[in-house]
Amino acid sequence: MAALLEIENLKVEFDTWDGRVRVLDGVSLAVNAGETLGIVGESGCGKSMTALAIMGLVPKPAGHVTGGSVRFDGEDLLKAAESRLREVRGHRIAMIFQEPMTSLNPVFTIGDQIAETARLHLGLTAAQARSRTIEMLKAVHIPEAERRIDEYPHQFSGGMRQRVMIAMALVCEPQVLIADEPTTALDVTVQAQIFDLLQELRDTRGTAIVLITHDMGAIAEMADRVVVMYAGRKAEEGPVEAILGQPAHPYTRGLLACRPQLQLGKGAVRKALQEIPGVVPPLHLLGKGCAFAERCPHVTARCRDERPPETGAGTGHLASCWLLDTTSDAPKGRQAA
Amino acid sequence: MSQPLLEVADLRVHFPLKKRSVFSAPQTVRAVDGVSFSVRHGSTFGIVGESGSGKTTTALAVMRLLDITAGKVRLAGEAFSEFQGEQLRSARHRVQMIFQDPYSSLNPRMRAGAIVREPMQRMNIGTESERADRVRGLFGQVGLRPDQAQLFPHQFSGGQRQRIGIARALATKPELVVCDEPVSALDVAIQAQILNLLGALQREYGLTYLLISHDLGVVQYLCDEIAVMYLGRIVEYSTREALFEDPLHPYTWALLSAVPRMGRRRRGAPTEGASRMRLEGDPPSPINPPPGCRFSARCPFAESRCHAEEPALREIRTGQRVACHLVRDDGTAPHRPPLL
Repeated sequence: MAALLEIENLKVEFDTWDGRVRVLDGVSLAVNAGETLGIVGESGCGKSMTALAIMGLVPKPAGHVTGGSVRFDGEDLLKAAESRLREVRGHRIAMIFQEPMTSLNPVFTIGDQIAETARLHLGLTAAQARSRTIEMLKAVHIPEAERRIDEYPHQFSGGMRQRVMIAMALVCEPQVLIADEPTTALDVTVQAQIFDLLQELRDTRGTAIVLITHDMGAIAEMADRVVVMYAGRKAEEGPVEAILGQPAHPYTRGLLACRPQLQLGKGAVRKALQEIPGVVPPLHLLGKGCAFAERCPHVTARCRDERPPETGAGTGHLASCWLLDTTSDAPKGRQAA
Repeated sequence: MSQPLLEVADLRVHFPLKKRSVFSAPQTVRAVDGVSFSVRHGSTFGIVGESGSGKTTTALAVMRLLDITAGKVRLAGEAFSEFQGEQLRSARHRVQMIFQDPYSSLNPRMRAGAIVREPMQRMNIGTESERADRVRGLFGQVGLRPDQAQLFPHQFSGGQRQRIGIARALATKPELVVCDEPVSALDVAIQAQILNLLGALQREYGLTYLLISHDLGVVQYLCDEIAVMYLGRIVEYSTREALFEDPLHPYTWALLSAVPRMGRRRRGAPTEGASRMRLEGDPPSPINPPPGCRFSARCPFAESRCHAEEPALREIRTGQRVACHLVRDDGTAPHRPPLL
């Protein structure tokens, strides 16, 4: 069965002062209905660009999609006309952004902004759209929805604004919801509320969620499957248990070890944090080998010269690294000497 | 028992609000309202809380960068909060700060070396050549090359900029270093570098840190003692071991259970959901806060007493204090969910 949303070998390039750089280099991923796919990585690794490419929103004229396909329900969105994309965007595939403060228009009431989407895509009358909006505000647990529908964004707190964004994204009951760092600007208690809400929507409506984040803790709680990205390439992909339990790629292991994890109960120990040395290299300076080679603790000559293929089979756990044991089915991190 | 480096007693910072009309009653934001704690030499004291809890205001008041409404701040036994004029200016080198955002806290027109040298110049520390030596030394200590002192901030990455900020804070050999969310603006993979650097510098030079953070993982990693703040007051004050082993205040439970963690899957068994404690809504405004316990409006266990009477911070066991009516003297509390 084909996945609901399937990206294959996607390539996106940008014109910069340093020449043309490839910001997405052969990215493939898939999401099924009712599933949460987490995309994780540092800034500049191509997470958000993947989301924009799905939505057909790669910035122009600097950006160019130079290859691959984005198949949604069997239709290649990269080949679709702009008018068709406009029907899909916001209706079938919706997106919520990191900054709930700046993603809402300050001069319209939140009711107007949500109703606009409903009227445009669903062809509802003003009155229908209003009742639909109230219904959505209730669905995202905004208290006193009938009153608050006529308020302006500045009258809402950060968490409430993110709920409004989610209500707006969900008003047309999209099949795919792309959440780009939806809780980064929020307090941890509010983040927990938003995660509960996303979970509830996925379970009750079967929405497929693409969750973009840099927080492995969020991945652990929310995602069913995970894609780890580095420098515009996919480093590793697999079920969340495999990624967290048996990470194969040195970059994934680095991401897991570099954040202090909260430990509760007795016997919490302070271990020195493992660092990933250096920073993500500028994309125009990437060599022909593995993108992570410069920062990898296990780097070999082959890593610098040849790009590693994606290996692993059967279990859906894949990784691109020369150091993997390629003889077994699932990739295992070989302990380099 | 030696004297603590920093003692804060009943600190209050209130901001008067602009009146809406000449007839309306004056309103005050009670950003910090009666906070007391002390920090030992060479230790790290953490203040955690949501936005608006008053943690940054506390730090700025301790540094004398905000007017203190009431209360005392003592630095190595001296009445730092009473210092005025030249006495205050000449004592400023003793407390320095590492800021959250390494992009906006460095002057883009100054070279990195000049940024690190500036506090010494302002406070007339050392001769020109001593300062130059110190800048070179500091660059080495924070993991930058001395020749990078010639570069401008935009030529550094975020993590390197934070290293410059750390070098600048250490330039005057401060007794107390206030770190306000030192890693939250940095990329995940870079945070470990900075946290390890802060730990190494503390071990090597016996630095004392006052750490402000909303990230409980970071707090657990760096701090020896921790105060949990809510709406301008400390609700729990405890050693690191006690706070993460047996948190007492319902707000602390809620904060801890909200943190996404490895090894706890959200989907699946409903019993997992039962162990989570969810707070409704957002923190209320610190303008004329509710009577009684400030957390009572969001506390799922609040009783009538909680809404009427403000609980005092009391010691439950050595090294652990809590301000909650529901916690009994032996540390047990009704309805407490198990922490997983």
